[in-house]
Amino acid sequence: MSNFARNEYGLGKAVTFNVITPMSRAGTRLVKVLLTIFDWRKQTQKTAKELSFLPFVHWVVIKRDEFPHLVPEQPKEELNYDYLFFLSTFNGPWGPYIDAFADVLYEPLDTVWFWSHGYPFARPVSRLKAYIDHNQVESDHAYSAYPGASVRDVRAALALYKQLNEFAAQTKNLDEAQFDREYNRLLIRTQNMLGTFGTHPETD
Amino acid sequence: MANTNGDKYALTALFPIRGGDENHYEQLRSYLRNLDKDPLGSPLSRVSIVHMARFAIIDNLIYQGLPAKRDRLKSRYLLFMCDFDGTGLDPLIGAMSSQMGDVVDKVWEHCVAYPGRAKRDLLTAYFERCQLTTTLFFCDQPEAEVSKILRGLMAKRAFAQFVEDNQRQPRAGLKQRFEALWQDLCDRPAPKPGSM
Repeated sequence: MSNFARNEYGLGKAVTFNVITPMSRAGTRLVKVLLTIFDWRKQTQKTAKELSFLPFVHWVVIKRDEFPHLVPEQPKEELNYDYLFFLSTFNGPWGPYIDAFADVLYEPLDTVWFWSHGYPFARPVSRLKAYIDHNQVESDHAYSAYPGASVRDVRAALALYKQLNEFAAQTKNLDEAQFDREYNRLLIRTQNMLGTFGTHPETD
Repeated sequence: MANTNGDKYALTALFPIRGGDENHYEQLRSYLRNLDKDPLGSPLSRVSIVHMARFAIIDNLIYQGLPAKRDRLKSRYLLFMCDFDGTGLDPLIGAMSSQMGDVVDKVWEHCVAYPGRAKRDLLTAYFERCQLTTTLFFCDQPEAEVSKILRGLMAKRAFAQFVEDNQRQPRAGLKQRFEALWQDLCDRPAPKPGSM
């Protein structure tokens, strides 16, 4: 359970996910270019945003001679491959997370991971799950500043705060009856933002 | 470019773990596994600019089976990934050093060439040497700081309760009650990181 962020009340909604896979030199060059384009052109991230369960993702390419070597006494790595690190945080259980990726993001996933040794393609998803399971590294500690809040909770909270701020300013000088009407309109606008959130007690 | 997205900074770093007979790797893993005993989930909650972070020990590279070649690491590495408000490493190092210095020492003393916290520029340089460039940094809320998100969550919880409490109350006085709620929300400090 060290993949889960938590607090004293229980387990949070942010789960860490680390997958490290080996790549050939030719693949590394291409993957770097692809990821740089995906990073630069934010509109290519629209589908991932629409999944609404990814607060943060890092893709990192590290060449075989780039593992930090700090002092002469530390042995230098002699590796056959470069490595691709996929480090994400997601909300929800592991299986549906991979399913959603394979369903919705299979094209970019295949384009980037195709160059990793043994990658079986995103579909059928059972082989992808086996590949990820094989290459996943468990976190030893995970932290979130808001462990009980999912991506949707955070989006709702920011949107609601903005609405309340505007409502408070706009209704300052209204009489009771006018305020009542505006309050009802506010409830209609924000009713989908009021769901509960929080960490959940752990069961043994 | 890729280390930043909006007002957020993505740190991905690999710190070689000390070898030798002292079992640094096992001590470090055991220490990291107990960090969540903190009431707010982690000592990182003391660093108010951190959104999310993780530690993972990479003790080997996974073999893919034939015809792939087997890669073996000569050192174990501590992976530290941290997403925080800022545009560079120095504010993070400064805040970690001052707000959770004891933990920084207990984690990184197991790593090769840790310079200690006495000189911040040395510590920042150490992190920079171990930093990997994040090739793609995806972030759902690139502009919202930790305190803004926590304040929003506080308002969400308080307003939902307000709506529930007031739905069966007489409408008279609703405006005053709302104004009192809003004033209270504006006056209250943002909740502590890790508390919600």
